[in-house]
Amino acid sequence: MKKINTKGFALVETLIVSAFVVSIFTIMYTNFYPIMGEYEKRENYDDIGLLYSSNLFKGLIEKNKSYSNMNQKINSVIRSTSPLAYVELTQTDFNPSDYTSGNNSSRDCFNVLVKNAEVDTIYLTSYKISILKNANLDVQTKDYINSLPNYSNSNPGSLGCRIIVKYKSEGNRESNKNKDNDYRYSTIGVGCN
Amino acid sequence: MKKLNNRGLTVVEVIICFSITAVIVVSLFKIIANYNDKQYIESNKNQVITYKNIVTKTIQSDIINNKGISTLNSNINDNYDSMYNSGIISIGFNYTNGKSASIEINVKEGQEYIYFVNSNNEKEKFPLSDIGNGVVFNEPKIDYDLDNALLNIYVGINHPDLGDKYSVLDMVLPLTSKWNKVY
Repeated sequence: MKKINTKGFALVETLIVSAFVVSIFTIMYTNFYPIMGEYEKRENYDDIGLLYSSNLFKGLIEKNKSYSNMNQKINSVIRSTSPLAYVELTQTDFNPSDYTSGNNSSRDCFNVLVKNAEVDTIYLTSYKISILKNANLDVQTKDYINSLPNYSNSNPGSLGCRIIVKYKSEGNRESNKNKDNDYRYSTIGVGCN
Repeated sequence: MKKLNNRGLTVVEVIICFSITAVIVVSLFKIIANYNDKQYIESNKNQVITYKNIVTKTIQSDIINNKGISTLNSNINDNYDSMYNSGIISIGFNYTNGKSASIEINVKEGQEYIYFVNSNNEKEKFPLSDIGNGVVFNEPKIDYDLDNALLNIYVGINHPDLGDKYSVLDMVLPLTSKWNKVY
C-alpha cells in the first residue's frame, strides 16, 4: 500500500502562501480604493444644472465668434499651426457694443452670467481634447479633464471648439455656504467654424 | 505500515486559531459594514440626482422649445415672502412665442413637491417623497434680477442621511427681453 505523506506543510511553504494571499488582497484594495474616490469626485462633474448654464455660454460665444478678440482666441486653439492647449475667456472677448434698444450687450450678458452661475473660469479649447490632457492646469481641473474621453472618434459636425466651465462649489452658493471647496465642472461643444 | 499521527491539536493551538480567526472576522465585518453604509448613502444620492435631472430636464426642455422666457407674470421679489409664508411659491412666466407655463414649489412639511404646468397645459407633479422619507426643502432662493432680466432659482433640500449639501433645482434663466443672444 502506498505510504501516506503525513509531513504536512513546512513553515516556509505556509509563509509563502500567506504572503501571496496578502499581496493579492493588497493589490485588489489599492485598485479598488481609487475607484471609490473617483466615483465621489464625479458627482461634481456635468451636473444637469451646470450643463444648461454652460449651454448659455455656448450661445454667447457662438454669437461673438466674429468679434475680433474672440476670433483671435478661437484661431489660437483651432486654426493656428501650433495650437494652444487652451485659452481662458474673459469679458474682453465679448462685444461691449452689440446691444440694441432694451438689450444687454454680449459683454454685459457674460458678466451677469458669470456672477449668477458662480463661474470661476471658462477654458476654450479645441473640440478634441488630446492636447489639453497634457496641459499644465490645477489638480482638480486636470482630474476632470482626465475623466473625459478624447472625443477623437466622435464627429464634431460644426462644433470646432469646446468650453470647459469651472464653477464654484454648490456649497459656496450664498444660501448654502461653508460646505466644501470642491469646484464643479461641465463641458460642451461650441460651434466655432 | 507507518503509524498515522492522530494526536490532533492542543487546546492552546485551538485557542490561538480561534482568536486569530475572530480578529480577522471582526475587522472584515467592520469593513463590510462601512461599505454597506457607503452603498446606502450612494443610493440616496442617486435618487436625489435622478430627481433633479428629471425636474430640470422637464422645465428646461419646455423653455428651450419655446425659445426662452420673455416675461414673468409677477415680480417674484415682491411676492416671495407672502408666498413662502403661505407654503406655496408660484412662478408664472410667458414664453417668447406667446405661450405660458408655471412652476409651483410646495414647501409645506409633509406635502413637499414641485409642480410644473408646461406650455401645452400638461401638468407634472414631482413629490419630494420620491427621494425618501423625511426629506424637506430648505428655503428656496429665488431671485429675479430686474435690471439684468435674469431669474435665478436654487432649491436646496435637507436630507436625513445626506444633510443639506444637495439641491433639486439650480437654474439660471435669462429673459429674452434682454438676452436674445443666448437663445
